[in-house]
Amino acid sequence: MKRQVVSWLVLLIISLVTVTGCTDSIDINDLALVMAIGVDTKGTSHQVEVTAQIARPADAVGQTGAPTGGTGEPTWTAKAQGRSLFEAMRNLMRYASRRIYFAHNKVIVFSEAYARQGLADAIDFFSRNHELRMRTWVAITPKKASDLVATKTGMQVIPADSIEKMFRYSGFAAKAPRINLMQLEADLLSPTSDPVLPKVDLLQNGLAMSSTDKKKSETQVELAGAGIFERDRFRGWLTNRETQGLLWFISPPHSRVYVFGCPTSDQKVSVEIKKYHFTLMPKWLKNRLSYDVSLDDDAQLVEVGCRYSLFDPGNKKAVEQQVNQRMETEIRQVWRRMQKEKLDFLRLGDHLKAMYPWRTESHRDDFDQLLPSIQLTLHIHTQLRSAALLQQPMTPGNP
Amino acid sequence: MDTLTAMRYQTAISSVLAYNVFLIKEILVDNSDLIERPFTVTLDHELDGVIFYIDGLSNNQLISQALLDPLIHKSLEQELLGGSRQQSIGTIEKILVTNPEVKIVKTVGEAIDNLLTGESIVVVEGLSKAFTMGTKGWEARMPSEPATELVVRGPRDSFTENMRTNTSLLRRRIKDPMLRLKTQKIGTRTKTAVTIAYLEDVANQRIVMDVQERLQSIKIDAVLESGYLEEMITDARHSPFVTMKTTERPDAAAAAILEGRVVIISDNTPFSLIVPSYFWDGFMASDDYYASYFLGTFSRIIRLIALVISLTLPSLYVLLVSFHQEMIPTQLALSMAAGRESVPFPVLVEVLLMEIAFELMREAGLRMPRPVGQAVSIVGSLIIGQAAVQAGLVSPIMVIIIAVTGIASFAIPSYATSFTIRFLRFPLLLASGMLGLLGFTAVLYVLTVHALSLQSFGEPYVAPIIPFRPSEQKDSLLRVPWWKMNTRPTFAKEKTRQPDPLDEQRKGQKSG
Repeated sequence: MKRQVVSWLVLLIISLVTVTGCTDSIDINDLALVMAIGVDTKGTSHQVEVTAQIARPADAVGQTGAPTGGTGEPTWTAKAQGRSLFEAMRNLMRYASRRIYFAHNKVIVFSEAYARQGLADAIDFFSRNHELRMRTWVAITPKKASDLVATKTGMQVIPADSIEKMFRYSGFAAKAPRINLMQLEADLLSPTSDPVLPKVDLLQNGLAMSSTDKKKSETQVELAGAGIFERDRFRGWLTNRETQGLLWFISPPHSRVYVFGCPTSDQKVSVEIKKYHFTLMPKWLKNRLSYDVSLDDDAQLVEVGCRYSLFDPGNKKAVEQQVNQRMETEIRQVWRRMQKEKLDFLRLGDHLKAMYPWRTESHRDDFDQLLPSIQLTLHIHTQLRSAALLQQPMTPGNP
Repeated sequence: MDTLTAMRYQTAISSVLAYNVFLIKEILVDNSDLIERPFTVTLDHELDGVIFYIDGLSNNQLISQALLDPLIHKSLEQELLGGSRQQSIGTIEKILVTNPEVKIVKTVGEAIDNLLTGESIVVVEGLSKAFTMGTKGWEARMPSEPATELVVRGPRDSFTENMRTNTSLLRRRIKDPMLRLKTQKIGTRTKTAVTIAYLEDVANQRIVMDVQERLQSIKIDAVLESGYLEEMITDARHSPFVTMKTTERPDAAAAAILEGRVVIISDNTPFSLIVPSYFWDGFMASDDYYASYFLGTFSRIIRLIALVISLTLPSLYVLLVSFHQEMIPTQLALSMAAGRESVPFPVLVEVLLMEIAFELMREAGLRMPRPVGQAVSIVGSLIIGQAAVQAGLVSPIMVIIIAVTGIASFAIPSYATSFTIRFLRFPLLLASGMLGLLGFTAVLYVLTVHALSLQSFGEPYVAPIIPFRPSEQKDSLLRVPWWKMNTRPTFAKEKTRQPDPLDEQRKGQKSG
């Protein structure tokens, strides 16, 4: 009896080790780690073309001791078509020697042509797939997405990593909003908001990588504004000014730089805004909706070409006024564009709902129609607080 | 023992010397180390006697000084009184009884038992009893620096194989009349002396009784090391966890006694057992108490990290690399993938390969003669580390994982606990290799529940963490300064070490 029990136990343990096939286990070197995805339309039919930038670990990592792949290319770009996004992705497997794995994907780039047909399908796929992270950056490009994904760009070994970092530190440049998949989905699902995506473009005049090859310029990926959507369909591009105004609302910049001419000479003054406080306050007044925007900021002189010092209160005032003016222009421009397009890409509806949860209900379907009638009240208050390390302008020959 | 011998064994000592000598020599026949030394004492009558002792176990000098000299001197000094033969015999008995360590035995068996522990037996013509004389004395190792529990700061002596030396080391540390050293003999053939040491007024009576009962119930022919006892009386018979702490440090044993624990000292081994002990005791070193309390607490936290690393790191690596690649930061994922680019095995096999290589290296180095042992470790680290990577057998990260795990396991002070952890790593590893995080969690869960179910002499094994005992936190993860260390573990009878000086002060202020 006892012997039987023991032999069953032994059998059980042996089968535990030998029979189970390590369910779902796949080693990391059998995965093709996708770093960036580009989505294009193919021809006139509704075919989807997917471009994937896949890391080649052996070459993407420096000295490892292990034999390297030999080509010296840190990534490998593959392209496949299909009737749907998923089919196209599966078709990638026809080229790929490893299982395509999306969990480390950094960026998804849609082409303008694809975006015009609507993104709902793609967003559904990307959020339904358990491998994709919701914090992946999403962008739109007027060029072909495949070109963007295939471009070697930036200082990182892996181009997609460069784009990822570019987005992460885009707050300094303040040229495009930062939108990840989660935000895009939130905008899409919100009854009032309309999505907006950063625009990425190919910059032709980047410098050559090697100094011997000075004439040939390298293509680089750059942040170049924003594209607005009606529901999930692409509608148009924002201008540079409008994008800068947009950033205050949806993607607060780390710092802003304004350059003006000097009052007396043709030199220039640069001002940097690092600390600011932006509030957006919806108000119902006699059944009329208005928004109070207030922007309190501290400015700092960073570059002064003309000869004036901060000790002169008149100069200080002048600079502050100029900053105020610039900011007002930006915000008014994007506001006008919003009213013109009747698209709530500034997420005004969400703010309204946060303030007046019940009153918004009645407008949830026609909020876009309400937009042109909304009044904007702007309170901008700039204070020039510092001239950094130099209180007096640098005057040649004058210690 | 055949029946004839058994019969002889039980025979009472007779008044006929020759018969006694015959019996003793028959029972211990063919023993070259049995020394029979006849002597004659001339008082009023000539009286014959024989001294038996075991060569090597008894101190020859002591025999001649303490035994023979008085007898012979007495016979020289003795005036002829004209007493009867019986009176002379009485005189000899008086002389013998003056020896400081004398016992009188009535049977041959008792005499032989004592003889075999190193005492000398004196049988005298006409006396139906034998005298055992405390002449034990053999070559013994002096207390030297402990080999397994090294400290940076602390006493450098350790227990030896001689139990008497060991008890004296304890006595020297605890000069308390309440210190009890109860000895009993265990092992039908080895008759090993086993002493339990405790403080009568501090140790919990229940625990002392428990220890005694368990020791008495041991039925075994031989006890050659305290490990025999440990397995015979442990609560967790089929468990990789050790529920008794072993130590060869007298200071650690004394500290345990002072905390109200019971120390079991076995003859012929420097390793004594401390009961009851907690799982966490394996992570405490004597240094913690001697060095500054900052250092003590810091070291304990480090050792706890060592526990986690030693137990889980290889498993975590396996489950991340073969199941949950999304959890790894991209840069690291690329490095891992790059390192594994030319490795022909699955991760689990790779880990097992390296783990086995490491264990081999450790095992080989452990038992090698010292000069060879160094060669093993140098060759091992060279071959296993650099060459295995260059040969494409394992990835560079794997070498780091195994090395860190190995070092972490060495950072655990108790060898037994360290082994437990090292051993438990393998089921975790297999489970993570087969089922990923799910398997890892399941096995860890089973292990935790098992540890929680254990007891050490009535005390929960994972205490004072679970169940949480607030007063014992002073000496668990933290090591509070000595002026705050004023309570003993909750199982002690007397729970206060000394009143808190600050409390005293406050009381003084209130009343004053």
